[in-house]
Amino acid sequence: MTDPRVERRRREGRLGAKGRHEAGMSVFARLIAGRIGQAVAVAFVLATLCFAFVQALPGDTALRVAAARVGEDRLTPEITERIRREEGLDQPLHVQYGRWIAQLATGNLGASMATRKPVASELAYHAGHTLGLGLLGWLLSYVIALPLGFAAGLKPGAFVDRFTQGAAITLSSTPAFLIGILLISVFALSLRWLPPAGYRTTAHMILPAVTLALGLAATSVRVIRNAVVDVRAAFFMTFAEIRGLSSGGAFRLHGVRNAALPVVVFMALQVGYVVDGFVVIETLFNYPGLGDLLVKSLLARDVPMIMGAGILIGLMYAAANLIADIVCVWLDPRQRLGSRQ
Amino acid sequence: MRTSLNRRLLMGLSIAATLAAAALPAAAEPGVLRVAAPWEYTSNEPSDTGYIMARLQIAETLVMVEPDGKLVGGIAEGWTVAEDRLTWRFPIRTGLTFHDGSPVTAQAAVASLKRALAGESMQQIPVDDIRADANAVVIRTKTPFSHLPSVLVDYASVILAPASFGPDGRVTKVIGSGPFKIAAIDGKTTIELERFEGYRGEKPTVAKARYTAIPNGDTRTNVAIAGDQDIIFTTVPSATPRIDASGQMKVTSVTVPRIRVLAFNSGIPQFEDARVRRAISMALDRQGIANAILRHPASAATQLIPPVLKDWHNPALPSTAARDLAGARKLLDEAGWIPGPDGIRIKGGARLSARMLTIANRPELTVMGQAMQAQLKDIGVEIAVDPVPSAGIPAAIRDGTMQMSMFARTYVNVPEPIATIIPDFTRERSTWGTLNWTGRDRVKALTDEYVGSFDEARKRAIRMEITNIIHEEVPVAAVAWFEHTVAVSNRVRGLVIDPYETRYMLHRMRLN
Repeated sequence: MTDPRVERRRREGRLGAKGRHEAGMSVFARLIAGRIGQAVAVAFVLATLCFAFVQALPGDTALRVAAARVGEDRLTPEITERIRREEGLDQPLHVQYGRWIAQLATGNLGASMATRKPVASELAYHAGHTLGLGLLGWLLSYVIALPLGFAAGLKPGAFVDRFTQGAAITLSSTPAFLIGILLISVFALSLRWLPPAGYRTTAHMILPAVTLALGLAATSVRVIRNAVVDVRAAFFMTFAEIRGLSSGGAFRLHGVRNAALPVVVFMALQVGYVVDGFVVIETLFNYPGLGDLLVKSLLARDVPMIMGAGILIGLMYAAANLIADIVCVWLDPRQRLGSRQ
Repeated sequence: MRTSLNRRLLMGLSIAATLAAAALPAAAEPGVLRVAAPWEYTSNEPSDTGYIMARLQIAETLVMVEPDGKLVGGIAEGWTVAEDRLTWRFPIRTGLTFHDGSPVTAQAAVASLKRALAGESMQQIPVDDIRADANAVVIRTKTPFSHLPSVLVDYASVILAPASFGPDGRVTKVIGSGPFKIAAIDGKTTIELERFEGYRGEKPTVAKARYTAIPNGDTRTNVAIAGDQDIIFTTVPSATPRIDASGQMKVTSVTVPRIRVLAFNSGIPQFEDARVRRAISMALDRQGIANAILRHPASAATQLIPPVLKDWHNPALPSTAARDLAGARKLLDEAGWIPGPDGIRIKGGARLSARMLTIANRPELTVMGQAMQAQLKDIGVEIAVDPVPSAGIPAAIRDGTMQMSMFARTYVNVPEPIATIIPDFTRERSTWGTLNWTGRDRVKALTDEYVGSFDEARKRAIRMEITNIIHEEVPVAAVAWFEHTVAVSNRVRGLVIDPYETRYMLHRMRLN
């Protein structure tokens, strides 16, 4: 609850530093509480949809699970039937769903039908790898995109702008696997500077991270460029220059923070893309990430794993958005204090 | 400002230098044998991933098979069968220990075997009783079961230490008795191995090995070209020239008893007549497929079982390698299938067409299917190729919708192919193979006799008769035998490829 005195002073526009701090904290608290509630609901709905979609797929779930568990050569009708009985796949769908919900209520995501290992530990292992590579690729993408985007936005139509536009169009329209194959061909197979696949050493991480970064940077460089161009054209920038600030000084003082707002939102969306896993890159580089796990679980119709992954991805996506909102509120005082009359 | 820039520059350079140092390619580690294969270590359960435990020689079975097909004692020093032909005795080798130092006893072996027998992988054995007697495992069967030692090579029956099992009976930790023990497992992808110094048999030369699972074939190819492993099992056949040309690794191969077959639903009008199935088999250009798609001319199948399985390969059968279009057309004419206006044969208003299922994750099968589609059009047979997930074919056989299918089937899940012949050729609906084949009863009578017979001469005669029936009736048409391709770096000496795929024989390999 907001302190009524703070609220009154906020309306009157008479908040001092302490008051602004209190108002800001209450905004953060409301934001976090609301988003946690939303995240739990979204994750639950997502997991339910996963359950429904897997059940809607044609084919026999028990047969798929049996093939994943014992391999194609060892499949027998007897193994399939045993798995159907053991995993309760012979029970009505509402019973299967109800059992899973009851299990979830105790904080247990259950065990994978294909590997028989706890879903939570499998997800933790693969999500850890995905976050590691994803964050590396994501940070690398901004190491590339921020200077180029700013340079392009500061001088629209100049060489850097036209070059980044061409590069962004080329990279955006090139599938990630092609970028990966190109990098592998050059740096692993021809120059032999880097290993072509794996995850054990830092050297193993470079090519997949660069593949991911180039794909992400292709879009973000244009978002940054456009944000810079928009802010530089804003009236408050002209006003700052009229006040006597240089163009660079006005941008540094008033432009950067404003330009950062759409970029931060976009960065959060990209984190969402990253936490989903990047199946093609993971497969190409033999990287044990979440996307790889999810695809294999879908092929095996591993329902508990798919639902667990649905919950995890939903929560991670929500967390990324929450962080973006917090950063935006922190960057933009208007969001903390509301619009003044 | 200058100072700040210089500081940033120095920081940037130091970060770049660190990254560059880390980015040096992972050099081959001295003393570590690096092994890669497609198979992920998904669970500790022997019925699921016992083949990885056995291939990496972490755990052993009572009986083992040498690469030349000879059955030898594993944990058991040998075996005897009583005069009743029902009671088998497998004495445990003396002095064996598990990796945790505990002794390998008959009781421990019985516990692992009972667990394996409770599952379906070894369900063919008509077990009456299994017990420890002194330091021997005694297995009594309800009916004579002459190939019991072969079935005990099954990876599901690897013998694990009592400490491997948790309170609920599940395997919590793999403690075997093989020449290598597990030092660490990382997810499904990496297993670090160490030489087991307490091993009583032929000790490995290498002290350490690392297994890496690389499921994607293209990635295995890249790793081979980069020379980032010492041995890579199951490389993609079409990539062999590129791997060899890289100079980092060299591909070698042996024919294994895994066969790419075309299976028919013999109960549908198109394929109920054996002459139609035979005509289709005769119209296939197996040599062309082996040369152009598999890049291995010796892969063209001349009959179902390749020569590597000496006991089951039938030299008296006429070869199917050569294409015989005239003979195929004649057979179809005799069967009443006459060319229609568009060249596709018809009979009683029905077209001689079918949907061919292939397995999507074996890319060569779809390409082979498309080649066969064109080849069969030459005799007026219309095929639509439909790649499906691997479990799609058993599902289609089970629900009776399979018309024809193309897949790779191993005949040595255990070293005696009868264990595969029985489920594939004696049932109305097999898991992988025949569907509604009327010849199944004849084969069943022969397999029943074979299983109960201890007369080697009679068993040989039965083998020839079974292979002859399959060759004549063509419930499945063998298209190409399988090459087990292995890329090896020049660091490795003493490579032995086991055509039965039970062991990687790492203990015999040396590193330069």
